[in-house]
Amino acid sequence: MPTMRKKAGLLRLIGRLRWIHVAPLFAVLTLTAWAFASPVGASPDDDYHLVSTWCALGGSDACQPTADEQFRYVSTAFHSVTCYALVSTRSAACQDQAGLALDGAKNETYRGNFQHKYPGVYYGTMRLFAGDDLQRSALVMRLFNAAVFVGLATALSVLLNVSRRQTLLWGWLVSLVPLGVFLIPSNNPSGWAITGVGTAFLALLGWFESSGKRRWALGALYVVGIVMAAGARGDAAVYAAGATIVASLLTAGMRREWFLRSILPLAGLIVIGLLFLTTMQTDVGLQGFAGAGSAAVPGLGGGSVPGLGGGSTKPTGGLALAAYNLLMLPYLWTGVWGTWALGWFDTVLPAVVPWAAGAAFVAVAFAGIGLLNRRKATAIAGVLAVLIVLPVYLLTVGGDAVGGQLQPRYLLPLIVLLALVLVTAPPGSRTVRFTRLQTFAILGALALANLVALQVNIRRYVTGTDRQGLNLDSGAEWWWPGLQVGPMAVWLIGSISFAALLAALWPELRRKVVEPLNEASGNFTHVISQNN
Amino acid sequence: MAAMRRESGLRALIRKLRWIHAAPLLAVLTLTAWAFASPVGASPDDDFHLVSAWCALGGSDACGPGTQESTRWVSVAFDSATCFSQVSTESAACQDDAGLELDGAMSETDRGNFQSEYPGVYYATMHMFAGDDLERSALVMRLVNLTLFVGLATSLAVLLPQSRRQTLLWGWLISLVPLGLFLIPSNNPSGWSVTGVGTAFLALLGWFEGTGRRRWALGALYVVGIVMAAGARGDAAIYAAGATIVASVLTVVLRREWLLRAILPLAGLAVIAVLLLTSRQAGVGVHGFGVGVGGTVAVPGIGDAESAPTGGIALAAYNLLMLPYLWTGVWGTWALGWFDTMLPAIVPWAAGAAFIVVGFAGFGLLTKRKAVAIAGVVAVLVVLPVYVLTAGGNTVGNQVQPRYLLPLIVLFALLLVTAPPGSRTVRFTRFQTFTILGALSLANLVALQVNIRRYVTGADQQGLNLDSGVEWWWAGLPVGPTAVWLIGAASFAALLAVLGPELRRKVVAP
Repeated sequence: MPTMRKKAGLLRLIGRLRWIHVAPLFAVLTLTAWAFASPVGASPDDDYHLVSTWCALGGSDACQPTADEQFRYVSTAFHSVTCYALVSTRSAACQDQAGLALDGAKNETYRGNFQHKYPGVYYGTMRLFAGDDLQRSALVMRLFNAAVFVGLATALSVLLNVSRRQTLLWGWLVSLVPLGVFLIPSNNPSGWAITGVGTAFLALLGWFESSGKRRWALGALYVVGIVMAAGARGDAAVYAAGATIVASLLTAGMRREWFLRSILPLAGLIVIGLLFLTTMQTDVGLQGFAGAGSAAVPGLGGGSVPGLGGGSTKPTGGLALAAYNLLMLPYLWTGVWGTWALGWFDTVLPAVVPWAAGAAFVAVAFAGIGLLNRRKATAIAGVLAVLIVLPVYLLTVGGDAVGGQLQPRYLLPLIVLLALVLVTAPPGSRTVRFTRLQTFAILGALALANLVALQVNIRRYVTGTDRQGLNLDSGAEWWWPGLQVGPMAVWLIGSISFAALLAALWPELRRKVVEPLNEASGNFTHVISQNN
Repeated sequence: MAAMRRESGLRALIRKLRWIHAAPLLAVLTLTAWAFASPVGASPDDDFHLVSAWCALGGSDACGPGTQESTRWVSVAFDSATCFSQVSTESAACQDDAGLELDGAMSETDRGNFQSEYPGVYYATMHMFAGDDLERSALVMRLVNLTLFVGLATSLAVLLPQSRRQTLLWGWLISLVPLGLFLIPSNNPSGWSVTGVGTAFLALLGWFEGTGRRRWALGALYVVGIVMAAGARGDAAIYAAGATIVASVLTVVLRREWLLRAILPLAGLAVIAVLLLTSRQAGVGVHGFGVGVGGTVAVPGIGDAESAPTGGIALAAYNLLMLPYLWTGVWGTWALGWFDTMLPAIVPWAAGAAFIVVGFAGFGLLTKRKAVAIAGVVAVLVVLPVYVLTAGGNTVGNQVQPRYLLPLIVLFALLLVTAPPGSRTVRFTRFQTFTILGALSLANLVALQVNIRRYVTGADQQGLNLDSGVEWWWAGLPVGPTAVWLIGAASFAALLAVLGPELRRKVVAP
């Protein structure tokens, strides 16, 4: 009897399953494919970040103190892993020669978070997964980070009302391909900065707009978001504060209820402030980015931007430099859609990636501009102002031109915030919605961008870019030792599950929804009709 | 009495004036600024095109027969005019040292349309303005070309119904900044390709949809359009045929009336074919661009990366994935002029985003036949460059230039914003419209500045003030570089402002 009842219960559960319920699984698969698409050390400054992880919370076998506070004795493996960095024709096979054993040779280094340049939460958390096997540990960290992103996004989708769920989906989709999907499942704190800022904005919006238990759960997610962002990078702390302010502004009503609820964001700002003060990245605001141990940007950037306004015309100081940076700014922004190379700026993406992913952003964001009220306009103006002034100021103060020092990944959390704000429907307004073919065009463009970017990314590491071809398995010089699944399979899994994810999300994105007028009544969102 | 009546008539006329009536003037001003923004010889292969103009219709003092059929004795000025080409730091002042007098030294050249590589209509028409003064003649040609464009667009705007007027305006606006604005008032036959293909499409659409005298006027404009396109370049002849087919597909109804009207496009296709057969550019489709088509220049820039493959399917795949770089060249990812006037990233992204959002809105208004037409144009936009490049062993970035594809992108834009019968037209909120027009106006402002800067001092000097330290400017022109920039930028912004209400009008297509 009990087994039968259990079986009937299971059947009922299966009966209730909808395609949308598979979405988290597809998202995990997509990000897992990206986690395996790059070898250890592949994201910018990963030698720095890996060392910082192993040295966090008092260090480990692979990281010992030295007499000098600014240095540590660390395994040379952390440096060796990046042997292919900046040389796009070199595959990751050079790691085998260099050796990735953590118990091998050690040397003294200053490249690590020894002076609190970065906040400690990210490295402290990653330290929990830092074991004796560098590759295995790094992979576990990546999978953990991917799971955290998908877990938070799923929890938010469940807790938010239908209209805000669309905000979440469109906002994340149009801002994460390809740089976001590269960074989230990586060993780079930029991944947390992205996850944290977006989560904090959505959760706080929900905190103000919903009621009951959901509200408290959303409040908790807000706290998770700001701690992740402000605990990963100093600039992300500033963005988290921005997300807090924007969400508060969008929902502000001068009533007792709102003031009571705004205690949470106020407390949030204090937490952010505290985390920010634990870092020294604050200096960046004054001195430009030159100090924070960042990689020189070759090719598209530093010396000469091929094609785009680079070379001989670059000014060297003052107003002219500011003007140049202002006019070249879109090149920095669009870096998140792939005008900049991935990894150590050595994985150049073909033009179809930035134009497909960028066009998806432009089309969706523009539809969002069509749904405007005064406070949303103010919020957009504010975020845009930061997106313009911050990079232009930092670059110009540091004497740099667009392409040097300041990388798109620093701005990505802010672009995520911009995307989310743009697709936030004002109260009483319908949400962003497209015809069936338009929706197909947008999602198709995103799936295409992901497909191409993932292939190019894997190709760059298995053979280097000096070999090309569809088949990633043939002539592979490097792959994860002991992994049953080959490069080709990882590519196919990653691109198919992303396409499947988009297909599963389709009905949700096409649903006709009106954001409720009453700001604190998220439960009463009425779905006008399913589909069409 | 008579004078009074005339005066009240004038007053009545003035009262009838609306802001929209200033639009053609503002368009002329914008394009005139662009005409003066580059020295003679500034558009790609202009030495070839100028020689061809002076040598057309039996030649001139500056062009005598050569020792062979394929050569001519021409003034060295045609080559000297391009002394700055491909060296972005070199201002146009080098023209003064080289000298632009047509009665100076002559040399023998094979760079010119001596073997009918191009159709003859464009060069022959330009030949009518080819006098003894190279600069003056070239400027007159530019002004003629821009007047033709504005005249045709204005006539079409008057003759077409409101919904198609919006098609015209949106279509031209989102596809012409900055490359179109550079080419239309230039000495390059690509300008006529652009004007011709767009005009032919709109006029033929009107021919099928209109009635009475308007219809005949539109039919006449269609003929002008195809002759301009097919008379300028061989590939534009193919695009003109494409425009003819697309407009016919959009309006086809298998009734006697339509079939009768279809005689015009059929005759049009015959004219196009005849013009195409007079040129040898047809060979391009088979051999790729590698062989002697008008002596194209090597293109510096992104395309030729180390990872570029060298043959076969890999090359085709590479070209396919890099294709957006070629398309977006028309919005400024490619440098203007002889690929030596690099535009800052704001230009392609502002102008390209304007195209994306307007095109995407048009994509939302779909019928089956419009979908078929779009699929056809996109297929050509994909297959043609990939095939031609790959067959010639080239990668994106070489040989095939964005200006070759521009007429097709104009056609694509026009098609996208064509509202199906009974459907509302493309329309945006006030703020959205402002954003689009603002982006276009910004792209024009920046591109015009960068373009003028490149020639007055070379790109090695920068700064807002184009007048300070100029090394080159038009001899005897009382208007300085900064003034030309401001006139061009302000009149384009004013043009967009004037067109605003027309673009925002709620209209349903007939």
